[in-house]
Amino acid sequence: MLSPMIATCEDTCVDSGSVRKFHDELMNGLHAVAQPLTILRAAMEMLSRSGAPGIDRKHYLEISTEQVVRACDLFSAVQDLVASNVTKAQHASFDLGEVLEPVIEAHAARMQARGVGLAVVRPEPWQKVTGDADRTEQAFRAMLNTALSLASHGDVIEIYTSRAAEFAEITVKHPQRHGKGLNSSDRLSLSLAEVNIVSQLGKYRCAPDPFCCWFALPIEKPVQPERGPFQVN
Amino acid sequence: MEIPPLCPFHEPEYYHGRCIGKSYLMLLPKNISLQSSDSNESGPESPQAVSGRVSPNVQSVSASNFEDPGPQAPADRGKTPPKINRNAGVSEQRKSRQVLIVEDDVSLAQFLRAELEHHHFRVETIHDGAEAAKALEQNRNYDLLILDLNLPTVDGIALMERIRPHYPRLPLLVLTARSRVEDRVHALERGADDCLAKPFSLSELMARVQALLRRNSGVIPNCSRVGDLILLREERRVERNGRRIDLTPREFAILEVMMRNAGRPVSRATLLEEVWNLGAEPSTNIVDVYMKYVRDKVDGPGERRLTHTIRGFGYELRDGDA
Repeated sequence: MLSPMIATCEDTCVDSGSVRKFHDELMNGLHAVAQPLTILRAAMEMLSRSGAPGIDRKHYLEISTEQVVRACDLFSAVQDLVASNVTKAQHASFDLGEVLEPVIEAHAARMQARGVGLAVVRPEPWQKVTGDADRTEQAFRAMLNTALSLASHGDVIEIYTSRAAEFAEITVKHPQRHGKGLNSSDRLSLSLAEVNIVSQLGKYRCAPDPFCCWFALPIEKPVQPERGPFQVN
Repeated sequence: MEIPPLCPFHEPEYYHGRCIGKSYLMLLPKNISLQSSDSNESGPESPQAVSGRVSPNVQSVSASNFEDPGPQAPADRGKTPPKINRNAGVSEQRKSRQVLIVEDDVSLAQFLRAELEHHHFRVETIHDGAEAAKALEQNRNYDLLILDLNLPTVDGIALMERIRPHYPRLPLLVLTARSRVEDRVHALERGADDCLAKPFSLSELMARVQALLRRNSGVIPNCSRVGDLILLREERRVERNGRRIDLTPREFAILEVMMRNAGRPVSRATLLEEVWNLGAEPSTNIVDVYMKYVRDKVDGPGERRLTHTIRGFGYELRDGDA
């Protein structure tokens, strides 16, 4: 399964280090997908024993449904990882707020349902940056998903935006030490975040515990009025 | 642009540059006590949902049924009492088997736990390699280790290499999503007893677990000897230098654990768990009381001392004072 993907990447990746990294990320992605598939296979096995006494069909059906959703999400992440590695990013101007706000809103509801708080420091107004809006959204979503997966009830996830020199910076942080390592799903999410930012010439950094993920995108340069050859000051 | 350090930044104004304006939104839970402490593991991958099945009634192995104890265990680990009643129920036998699952995926670990518990195993789950190493180093008596290779902090291979010298006979089943033959060979070479590639069949997992335990269950010989002290399990008979020693069932159980661990210190907690099936209970001196009974009977007047106290820890059975 990996070989065609790696071959495609070899055409687009600039050096063997990138190919190796892509290979590792894919391996990790496939490892992540194997988890729900294992549960799913076992649950289906139990469901198929319909005649056996003591089999709680509802329980295994619920498990199957959950794991199908989870497997689909992970497959989608692997697909995005491949796409981001083998296709070129766009470099267009977009409003950071228009991309990030809907993601924050969607996650705020999920976090509240899980008993996790969300603190956001927003800029007024949001910056216009140069890059790939879709990849930025994907990266930001992946960071928030990872922060949420590491959070416990009562924790607060923080999002900061700031500006440094020519870059708009976004930080997603879960300040409490969670003491857990990142599992393969988290690692897949962060690989996706990294490739989506780096491929559009952004900057990316991440530390796992306490979780802190940071990225920066170049702020769009204001358009200078063109001066004609006969313009008089 | 200089990339800022990943340090805590409680004051956002001072964090790499200035903030571009500031509006602060706090969405905090209304009632923190509503959710369980495991809530960090809930959501779409909720292990609670996965492990939500109500387990069937499980027979507990209490002190009173110790005289008909469960299965045998390997001589060098000393987990379960000796198998005396060969007609003991299957579920009772399995109940005394303790399995440690080291799997980073919480949902999968909880699912496997629920399934193994359903088959009357005692199961503990750990999601991190370093934590697992710690648990195993704390002289924990597991009958089987189910180990994922792709673990955070310390990976499965490194963990195997670390624990194998200390647990040479601990049955170790590796779970891996790496499907290549070389990966499985590598795991087996580094100390795994068996290897199962994900996604695996549950019935195959159960069969392999049973096979590993079965393979490992025949290693206790009927007869154990330390110096001139002999213990015959089937006959429930103890002799020293031709002198028959009469022991109560509890005293026999203590001595049997000590014989299985001859030459190694056995903690009070281990004796308490194995003989009385109780967890650590620092306030009780029941172990010391019974150990004195055993010592008085085993080390007769004029005989070389075989039972030794390890101060602050427990006891050791060994031939000689060294």
